[in-house]
Amino acid sequence: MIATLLLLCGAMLFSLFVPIGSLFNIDWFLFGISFHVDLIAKVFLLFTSFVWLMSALYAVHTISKRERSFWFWFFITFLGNFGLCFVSDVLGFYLFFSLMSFGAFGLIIHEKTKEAKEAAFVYIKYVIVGEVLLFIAIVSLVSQCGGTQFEQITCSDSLATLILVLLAFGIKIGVFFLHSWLPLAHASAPASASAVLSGVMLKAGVLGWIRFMPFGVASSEIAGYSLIVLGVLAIYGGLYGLTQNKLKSLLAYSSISQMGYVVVLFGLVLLDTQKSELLLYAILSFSAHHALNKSALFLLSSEINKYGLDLRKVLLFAFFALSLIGLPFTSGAIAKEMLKSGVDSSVLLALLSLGAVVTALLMLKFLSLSREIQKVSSPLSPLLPIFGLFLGSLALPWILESAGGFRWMQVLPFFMALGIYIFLKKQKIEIPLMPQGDMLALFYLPRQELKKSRNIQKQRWDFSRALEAVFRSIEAALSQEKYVFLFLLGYLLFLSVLRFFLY
Amino acid sequence: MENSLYLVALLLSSFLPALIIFFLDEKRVVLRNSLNLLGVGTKIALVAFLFISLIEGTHFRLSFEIAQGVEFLLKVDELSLLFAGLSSVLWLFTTLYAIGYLKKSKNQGRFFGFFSLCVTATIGLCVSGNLFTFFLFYEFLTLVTFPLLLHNQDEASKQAAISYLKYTLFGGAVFLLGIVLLHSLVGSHEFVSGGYLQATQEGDSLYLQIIFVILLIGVGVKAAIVPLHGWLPKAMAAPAPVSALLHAVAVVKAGAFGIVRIVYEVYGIEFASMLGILYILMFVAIMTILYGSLKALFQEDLKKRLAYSTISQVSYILLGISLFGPLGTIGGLVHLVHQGVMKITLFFCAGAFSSTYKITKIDQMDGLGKTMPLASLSFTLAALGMIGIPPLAGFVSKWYLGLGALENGLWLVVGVIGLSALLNSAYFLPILYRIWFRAPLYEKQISAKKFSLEADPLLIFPLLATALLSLLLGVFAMSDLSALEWVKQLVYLEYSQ
Repeated sequence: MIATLLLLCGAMLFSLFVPIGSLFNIDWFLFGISFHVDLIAKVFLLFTSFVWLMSALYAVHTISKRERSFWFWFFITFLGNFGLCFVSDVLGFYLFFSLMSFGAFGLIIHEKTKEAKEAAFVYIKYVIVGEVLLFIAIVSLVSQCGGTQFEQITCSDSLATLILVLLAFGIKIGVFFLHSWLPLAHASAPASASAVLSGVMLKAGVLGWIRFMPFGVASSEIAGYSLIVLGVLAIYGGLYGLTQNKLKSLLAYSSISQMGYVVVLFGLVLLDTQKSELLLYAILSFSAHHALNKSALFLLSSEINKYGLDLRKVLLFAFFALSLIGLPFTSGAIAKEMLKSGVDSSVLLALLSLGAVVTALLMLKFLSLSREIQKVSSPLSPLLPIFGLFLGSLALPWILESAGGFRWMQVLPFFMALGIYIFLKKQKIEIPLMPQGDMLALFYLPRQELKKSRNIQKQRWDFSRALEAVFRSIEAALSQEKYVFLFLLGYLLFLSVLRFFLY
Repeated sequence: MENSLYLVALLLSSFLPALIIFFLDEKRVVLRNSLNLLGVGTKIALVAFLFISLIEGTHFRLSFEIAQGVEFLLKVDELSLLFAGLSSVLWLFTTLYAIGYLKKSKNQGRFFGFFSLCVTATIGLCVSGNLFTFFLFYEFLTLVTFPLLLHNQDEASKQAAISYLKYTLFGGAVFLLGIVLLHSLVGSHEFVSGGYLQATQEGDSLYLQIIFVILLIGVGVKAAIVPLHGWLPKAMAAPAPVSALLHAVAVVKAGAFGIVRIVYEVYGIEFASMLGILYILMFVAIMTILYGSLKALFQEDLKKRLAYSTISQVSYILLGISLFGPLGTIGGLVHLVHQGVMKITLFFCAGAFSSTYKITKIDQMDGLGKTMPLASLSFTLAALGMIGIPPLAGFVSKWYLGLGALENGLWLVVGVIGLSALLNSAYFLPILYRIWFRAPLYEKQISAKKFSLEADPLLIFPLLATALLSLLLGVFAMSDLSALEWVKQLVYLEYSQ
């Protein structure tokens, strides 16, 4: 424990004071590993080590069972996550990425309940598939470009390699249809671990995309449009989250929909290389913003679960939730403004605002769920790390040096969500609890409830119910990893056949 | 006949101890062990000396004509030292391990005698200078391994030994046929970098292809390629040091080494690729890799699972050979060493588990991480290396294999490597999960001594050493002393012709 904390403090100091542009080389290790702190690395280093440090401080107060094993895996996972932030060659990245991914298995399984075990097994399967895809991607990149440094591998123009990279890191990011592991894993790990899993480890996938894609060099229409579609579909994750009744699964589903924004941004980068710099800043600031707020919410959710909602927690929660929704003067507002400045299609903008509405709904659901938990007097000390994250999130707009302003578009989604929520409450429409269901059920079930409440009951074949059954089974298939992998394989096969016929 | 004395000494360093041990009384444990270790020490020293002299440019040769045009030839080249170095170093660890493992066993004199003979045969294979000499030692190896497989003298080991004999005698006969056909075509030549068949320009390509397939079947029995692998899982009835020897030091490796010799130094890699025999080899290798991994998934017995894993992993070597181009060759040859080191660690661990807690099945392995932490750690390192996680040794070989495949534009092969890595994790990770995350099934044995290891130190020390070696071979892959550097030198020779 002490070793981990010391390492974390050291890493924090390193991240704060390492000047941009510094180089480190370890020549004797494997094929040589080199580190280069550029702007991207610096941003990632800063929020990564900060969130890890705060989560560790929280873990000091809360982890009581099997402390040694927890800290061991915490240490390993952090080492991987920290190293991959500023490593500058593909093999080093692969090394640290695997260290992090495998280490997280130990964190997820820590509670050793049935749920935790199942979640960890699902997680590790996804990890291994991701690792293999990444290995093939790296081999093909290096084989095409003849170098292992990140600057050298942008030469590749093969679509197959790009898709491999997208899939390999897409699993970590939780891109729609590769996301099924995410709510399971994030909901069953201890809070301090889910905070880092959801807050910063998802961002490792983002960093992977930045580093391995021909970022701002080459464009690819197929991959770009696929990413935008997948990113928009991620809103589904948020909607589905509304049917959950555990605080942490709500937050996990919210992560899926939030990462959807980033996926859309990457899609835009792939479509138009001109704007890549602008979009890069948007991705970086959004990642930092989401890391701070989401990890804080995870820590807070565990506190609320244990001690109920009191005034201090309401205030903290309100701040983080509003940041996440993107209300004015918060880090979320700045991040979303940057995001929107890169998007010029109005349809896409409207869809992104829809995402904000869903986030707001999720947060309201979170609030109503946490009000049901019985209040107990709570100790102050576990709240301190959360307060640290609060300060970080508060300072983020200034760090980003962006002029915040008040725009109606920033507030609108929140009030829309509030309106929907009050409407649902007034009509006494309960959102059903669904372990496995589908998005369309959300639209059909309330209508059935409406019909019932107005006493319009006709005995006829119910189209909506049949459709609901179909989508339920699709979701059930999606949440089982083997179907996903089969689909993946089929997709790869399809692409290769397509390529065969095209050329 | 240059410096032939050293070659004789190299062979005698394990042959003489074997002869003396046969005539020693069973109870002279100390003398027997020290003789054995003396032999090992001499052999390692000699191999090291040969390494240095070869770098300085000294040649080592020993030859005399047996019959008209048939020559008995021993010589030292880069390839032979790669294999000789591996065998002699692993022989040291296996000997130490066997002393610990067989402490209470009967017939130790017989065991160690044949054990040393087995190594003699392997070293003979390494320094064989032509196919005929290679064949002699190849058959010698078959004969001296037989008593080792029979060591337990129960029904299972009898079955195993008979099955082994059937397979290998069949292989030997086919191998001989191939050699004779080749001899009638071009006469006997010594192994030479770049091959000698192209230069002789005899025979049409179909004939040479058929001869290659015949030779492949002959050597492939020992390398356990797929339709000919049946003896290997059965041979698991033998004690752990024998399995370790079979899989990592002598038999399986001898087969793979034979294929290396045939492809690179008989046919020559460029000629082989022109003939298209590399595709035959690639097909066989891919089949074996996938089949072995799939079969391993369904094994409940730890040693059986490891055996099928060997079948699949040894074919990585064949796969690397079948990829034309330096990168693929590096991958294949370096895997010869890396696979040996990792697999011997796994078998040492399996033996340590079974001799300490009588654990042979995988579902008995729960919680071993708590009761036998050092052995479990070594097992974990080796298993992760097999999957190919950086920075372990297995990653280095997989990396070069992948690069070599893409150099030829063979995405299929990269896919197979990926699929095999998936299967490898599917059969190794559940074991690791049991070891580290489950509650122990057995109480930890508490010894009365103040300072004690989890098992006999002679069992623990060798497996720690080989596990460490598999880590170091990966981490220091680029240093001058690593297997990778030596293989790179060697490949440079094969392709510069």
